[in-house]
Amino acid sequence: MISVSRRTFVAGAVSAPLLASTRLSLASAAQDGAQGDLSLAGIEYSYSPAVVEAFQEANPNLAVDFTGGTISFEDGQIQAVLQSGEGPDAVNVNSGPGRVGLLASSGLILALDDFYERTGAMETYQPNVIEQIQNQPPEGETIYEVVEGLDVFSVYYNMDIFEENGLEPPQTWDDFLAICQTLQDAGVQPMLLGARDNFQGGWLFGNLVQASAGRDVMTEVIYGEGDFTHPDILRAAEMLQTLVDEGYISGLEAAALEGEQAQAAFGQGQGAMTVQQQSFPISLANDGAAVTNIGSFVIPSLNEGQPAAPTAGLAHSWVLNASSDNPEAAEAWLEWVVSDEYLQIAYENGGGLVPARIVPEGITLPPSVQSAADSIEEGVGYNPSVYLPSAGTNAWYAAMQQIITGQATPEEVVAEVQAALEESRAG
Amino acid sequence: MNMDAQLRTPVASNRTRRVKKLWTGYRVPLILLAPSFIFYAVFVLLPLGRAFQLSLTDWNGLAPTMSYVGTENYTGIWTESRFLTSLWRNVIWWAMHVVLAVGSGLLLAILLSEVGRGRFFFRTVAFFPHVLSLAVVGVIWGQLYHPLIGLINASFERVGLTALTRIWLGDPEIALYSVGVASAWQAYGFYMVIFLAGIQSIDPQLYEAARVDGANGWQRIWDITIPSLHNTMTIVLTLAFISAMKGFGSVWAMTQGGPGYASELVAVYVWRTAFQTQAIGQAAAAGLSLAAIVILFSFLFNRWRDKVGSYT
Amino acid sequence: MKSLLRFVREANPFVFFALTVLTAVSLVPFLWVITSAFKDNTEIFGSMSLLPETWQWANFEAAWLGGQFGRYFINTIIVAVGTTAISVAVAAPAGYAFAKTQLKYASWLFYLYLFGITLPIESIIVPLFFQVKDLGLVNSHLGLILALVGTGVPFGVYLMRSFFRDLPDALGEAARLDGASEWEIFFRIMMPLAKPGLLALGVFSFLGAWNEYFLSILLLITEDTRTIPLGLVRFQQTNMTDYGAMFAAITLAIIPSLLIYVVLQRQFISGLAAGATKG
Repeated sequence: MISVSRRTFVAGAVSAPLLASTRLSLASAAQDGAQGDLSLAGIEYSYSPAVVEAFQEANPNLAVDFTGGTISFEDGQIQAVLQSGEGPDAVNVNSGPGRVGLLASSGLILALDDFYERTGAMETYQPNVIEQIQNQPPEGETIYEVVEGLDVFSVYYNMDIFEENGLEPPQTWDDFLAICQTLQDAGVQPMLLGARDNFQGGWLFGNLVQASAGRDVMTEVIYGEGDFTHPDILRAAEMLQTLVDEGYISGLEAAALEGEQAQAAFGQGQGAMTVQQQSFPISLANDGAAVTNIGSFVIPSLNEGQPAAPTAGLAHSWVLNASSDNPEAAEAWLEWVVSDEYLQIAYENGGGLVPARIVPEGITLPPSVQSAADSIEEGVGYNPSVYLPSAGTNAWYAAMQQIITGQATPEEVVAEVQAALEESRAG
Repeated sequence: MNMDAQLRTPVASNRTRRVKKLWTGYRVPLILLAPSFIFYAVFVLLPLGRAFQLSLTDWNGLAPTMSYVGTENYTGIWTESRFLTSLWRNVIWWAMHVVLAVGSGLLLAILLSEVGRGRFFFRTVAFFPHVLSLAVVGVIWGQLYHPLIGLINASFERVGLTALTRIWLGDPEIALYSVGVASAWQAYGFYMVIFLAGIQSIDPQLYEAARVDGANGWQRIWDITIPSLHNTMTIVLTLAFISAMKGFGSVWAMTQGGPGYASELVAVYVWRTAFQTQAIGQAAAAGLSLAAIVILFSFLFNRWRDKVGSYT
Repeated sequence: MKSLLRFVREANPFVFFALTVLTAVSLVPFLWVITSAFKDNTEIFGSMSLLPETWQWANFEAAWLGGQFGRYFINTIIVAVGTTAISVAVAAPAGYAFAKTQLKYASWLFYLYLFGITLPIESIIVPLFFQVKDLGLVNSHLGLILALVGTGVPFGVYLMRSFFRDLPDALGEAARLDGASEWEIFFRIMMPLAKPGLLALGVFSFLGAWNEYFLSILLLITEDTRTIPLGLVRFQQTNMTDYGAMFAAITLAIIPSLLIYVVLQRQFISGLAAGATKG
């Protein structure tokens, strides 16, 4: 498989077969044009069965098969399944340059520019979403994904506990610390965290980075040549350390718990606050949790005059397998994903992502999703877990885990992330 | 031209004859060996060659191109504290494996050899954990160590030893040891079986003679059983070394190398570097470094044990 | 059971105590998992009682519906049996060739195999994946089986060579004088005599393949190809908070292993012992 040519090896016969399906008219694809088998895989939502079923009904000649929640990026399985030359025709994966960008630069997934033009998705999607997915590696012009939705992260708190202790959402970082102290004195665990599987720890750390450094500093780090050792980012790491040192977060326990377990503990009233995304109230209600009275706030900015902002990021994206043997059907599925009906069914069935597209008339978003969508309008910070390149993401997660377990100082961890960033910028 | 032909023919037929003779002589062994060699070549030797090739590149595992970077990956990891620490953790892991798994296995085997009845029952039960995959063992022990529901902390609390409760997998100081205990739990039944077989093959007359000399139980074990197990011990220690240097399944199922890198063994380092960081070249260099260490040490260890010689 | 009672009466108290402790260490995690599988979350969190207050069969229903444990079991059987059969078929002749036939440079070739025994598979995981991929066998049981056979060949050959070497040469020579062909000597005389060796190799291959995890993560990707270890880890990752269902899933995952072991334990133990002491 590897042929050597001077100093450059060429690996793999990954010639991306070009999609010659522009001839398909929108109507025929969305109706009953697609035939054969269509296999879909990836992240699953509460509404996945409903949208798959509706698609199947609209395409009786197609045998649709959806396997949910079973393929993970972290185990190397997405890469493996796409490289195997087989695998599902379309996959719903974690968004971001470290993930979709990586698959794109290896020719494992198909470019979708024609698709966006043809279906008009270029106009129906939020301009900032289009801008983000256009400005990704490899070449920074081509779109490779259809974004399923966005996530907005902020602090969710148990309103009953706050009321019992006479607390209000904080206006400053010192307020926030004071709230934690009051709760601790009252024998309540101030914050719950489950960071074994990284995600939730990344959300919290991201919130702190936003509060301390703000969006512009991170824009430089992510898209420019900005240093992760920036004093304001370092301060965010110190803030995380403070929360752990003061016992506001039980660091060791957090390192042993999964995010989902921390969520469940919050639902049982075992702690006052936790960092979550907008779908949190919906999923708590679905799980029949004891705690129903939930509010949210954003960690106040430490920089005078800067408004507090939550962090946000593309959540998940559909990509098309370059070696799919039924690209027409896969594209028909994407057309379904970008349709108004799809969005409608999603929110009727417990959907909790912030829509990546402009919401059409007649669709009402759940309240927590609506307010998250509003906050995106007003301006949000980055969820670094999504926007850092893959080597950087891993260093970022390791940094978070090392701080909460007291293994490394803030100086050391920001230096480690910086080193990983430099390496991936060089490569 | 005529000369040429005359000259050539005998040579050619000579060679054919020789090949033919070789073939008749070696046909049977070659046919017998061929299938195994094909499997070995396709799934070990060729990948090994490729791994070496990849270790000299900066390939990310997906991109259509890669550049030759010389020995950069090797110098990189051998000066990187994360890799060196993971290697050191393998040494700790190996020591734990020898003490806990091999030690308990030996103890069990000796105890069992002392009892006449009930041996079957104890042997059966002690072997139970070994029929489970390390990944399954990881899931089970993940629950035993669980900070909210785990049996271990709950038992300590129950008997009033609350001071002994720990966040077994979240505390970076002890996560590695916690996982090591789980791995040893899975392995000691295996070593027990091997030691038992070794003990059973010891000449009973040796014990008889010792009894005549008035040796007590401890002396019999110390003077006869242990020295007689020299060869078995060599095998067991080699196996323990090889399996300790691998160590992946239980770690991956319990901590994935975390928190941070606190329980990252080399195999986990290789996996994370290859499939999370997408630095295939670096992962290949780390894997081959591990291979070199394992092979060298197994070889030297066996040479040394042979030199020391066996008791019997 | 009766002999166990007699053991309790007869044994040295120290031996009895030590054995009981060590056996309990083996057994308690199993008992805890299995009894917890019948408890609901409140009880799992709150109580230390050994037996559940009410038996929650619903946990097993949730586990059975949430993962495809029947499928995992069949897949694991396929992988384990396939690997065992091919490993024995491939390694036995080679071991015989090294032990009983004359071949130039055989010792060098044998060193090459010995090298493979100590080579950790972890060091070649990435190219091994691509090898299987180039054969078009990713996400198929055959791909995993072939890779397991290939990586297991060195040990298998080494083991079989030890067994064949212990058989007397005179047997083959006598048969040769009687006009038996080399093949007849191998299949009719030597193979039957090497049965303990075949059994030993079979047990090692079976256990190894049954418990395989490292390669499987990469090679078995979709739900329908997964084996028990993969399926259980995945179930755990997606059912973090339903502890009862998770314990039920663990129970479903371990029961087949224990049953197979209990039924075949004589073969397991003697195979392992013979294999390890020969090896």
